[in-house]
Amino acid sequence: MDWKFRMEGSDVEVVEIPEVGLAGDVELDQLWNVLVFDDPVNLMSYVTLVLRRIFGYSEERATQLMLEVHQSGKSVVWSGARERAELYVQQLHTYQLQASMEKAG
Amino acid sequence: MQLQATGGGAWEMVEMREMEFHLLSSIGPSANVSGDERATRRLFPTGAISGEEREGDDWKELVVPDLERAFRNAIEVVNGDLAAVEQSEREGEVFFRVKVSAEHTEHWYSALNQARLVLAEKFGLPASEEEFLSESAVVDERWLAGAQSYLYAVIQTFLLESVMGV
Repeated sequence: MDWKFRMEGSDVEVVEIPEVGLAGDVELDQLWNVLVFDDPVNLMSYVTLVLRRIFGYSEERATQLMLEVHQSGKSVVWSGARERAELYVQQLHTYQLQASMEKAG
Repeated sequence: MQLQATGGGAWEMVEMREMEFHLLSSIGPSANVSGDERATRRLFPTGAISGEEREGDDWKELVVPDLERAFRNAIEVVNGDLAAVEQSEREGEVFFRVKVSAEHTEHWYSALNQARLVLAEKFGLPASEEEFLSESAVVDERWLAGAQSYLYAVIQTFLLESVMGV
């Protein structure tokens, strides 16, 4: 299924990546984590939908991450290069999810 | 009010009474963050990294305007659909009908979400309707904000389940 999406009026474009949580070719000390935080407004199925759209995750993987967000208050939803992490945080903000990034390790 | 998918990703709200239409017309004003610092921070985070000031400055300059544009656009789409409302009268009561195309559905979801996020920050609304009702005995401004927010959540749930195919 094609999950490419562009919100009208926004410069943000979703790019498709393989279904992995860790981008290749990045040294471990240069890894950045993208975090999504729980909030009382965003519906659980919406969070799953957004994770599928942005990261190209399967329904099962996206649901697992959504539940982790809901139960633990936050979840690392992706790790990789800083530039890509920034793009993902921007996209998550466009979908109105609470998200930020931190250096891994 | 009844919500119904009309095929091809389009949907409509029918048999709406005046109060329900009034609540829908409040989406735009309710999504307005002006004057509320917490709501502004929630909708327009100033950085990708918590506590990193320089990053925050760049983010505010480069990313926030794009968010503002996208969110404003969603509200404008919703207001346009609401302006095209159809009215009918039956037994002395006015009923409203609003049609939404498939292309506008994401904007509706976004606008409803913006309004709910701002209302939650302004009034400290809990996550669940049950929790809210159990702690709220007085019908005041906060109670009305809660009722408004939970109506919007019902529409969002309908959109996710019956229109957006989640």
